[in-house]
Amino acid sequence: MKKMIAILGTIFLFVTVNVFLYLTITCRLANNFSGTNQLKMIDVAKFLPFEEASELARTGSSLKFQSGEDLPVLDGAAALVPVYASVIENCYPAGTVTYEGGVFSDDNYYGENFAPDSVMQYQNTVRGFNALVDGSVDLFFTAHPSKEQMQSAKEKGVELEIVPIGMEAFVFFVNKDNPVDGLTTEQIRSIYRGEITNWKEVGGVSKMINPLTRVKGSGSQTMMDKFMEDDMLTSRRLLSVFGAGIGYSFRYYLSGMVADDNVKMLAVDGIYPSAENVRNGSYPISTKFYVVYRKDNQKGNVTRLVEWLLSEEGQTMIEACGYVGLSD
Amino acid sequence: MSDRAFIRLMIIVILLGMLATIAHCIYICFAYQNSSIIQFIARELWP
Repeated sequence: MKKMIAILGTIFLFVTVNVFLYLTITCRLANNFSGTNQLKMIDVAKFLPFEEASELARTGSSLKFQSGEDLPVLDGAAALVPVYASVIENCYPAGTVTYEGGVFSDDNYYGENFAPDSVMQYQNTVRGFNALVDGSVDLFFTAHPSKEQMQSAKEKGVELEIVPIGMEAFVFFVNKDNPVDGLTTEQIRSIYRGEITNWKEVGGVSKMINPLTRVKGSGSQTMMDKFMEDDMLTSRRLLSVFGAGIGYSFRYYLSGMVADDNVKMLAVDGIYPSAENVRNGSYPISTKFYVVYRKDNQKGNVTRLVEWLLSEEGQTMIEACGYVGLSD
Repeated sequence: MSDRAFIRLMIIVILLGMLATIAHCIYICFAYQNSSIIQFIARELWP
């Protein structure tokens, strides 16, 4: 009898450990375990031009490209898909976007969702930028390219024009049940340098802080590197996985596109990252987003489209997408 | 159950338990590095 209890007890011990791991970690891991899928976190089918149900800004345009013209191919970061899809909706002729669907994978990531002749592509920040440099994409919508990306373009002898077209807030977020509603910029930097490790040090409950980071080269990681002045933890700390997390993203991506009610954005230095606070400049970590193209691009419609984006019509469309236009 | 059979059974149970736990941990390490940080925070358990 004692022997059976010992065996059953051992089995129970292993089951308990694994159930604990599942409840605290495994069940929270989203289904995007490949590097490719991690970079593609939106349902692009919701933002397809010329589809009635798409969530796009239909503000109209005096710039109307015609079929048969040399049309610029657009690509961009996940967070800016609504912007460049809306550009196509307003300025391009119908029938120029061919969405093929498909499943993202590490082996089939290059143009897998759009036909090669489609004017809309979605390869996200890292691969889309490479496509711009290689010349298969004409205009790329993004946060400012990272130093590594700029260096990579330079090594290939490609000069880039980087034009700001709108404003966006860089935001920090936590679980909605975390009692902390705001942090100072210095507290955030200390958290990501490993100097503050418990939420009680910043007015929260006694719980470890899990400072989550993003993929190198992604728009939000590039912005974070700049914010941290390249002095931050290089990887996620393993034990803090049992604590409460803090992460970062861009305002509209988090609140408008992903829109998960279980996370909340934090005020920074007492200022909440609302569109109004980005517009009036009071939110301390506002940044610009850009359209990037090769200086040697021969398509005349590239500069026409960039000029349109900077016009009143273009800025109205950007605002209608949920972003903040450039200040006057 | 003889002592010999008990020890054999115990070794098998421990080996299988460790194997399953190690596999679970390896999966966690791999998936954690690549998971969505928004989803990971959204699914946190708070009392």
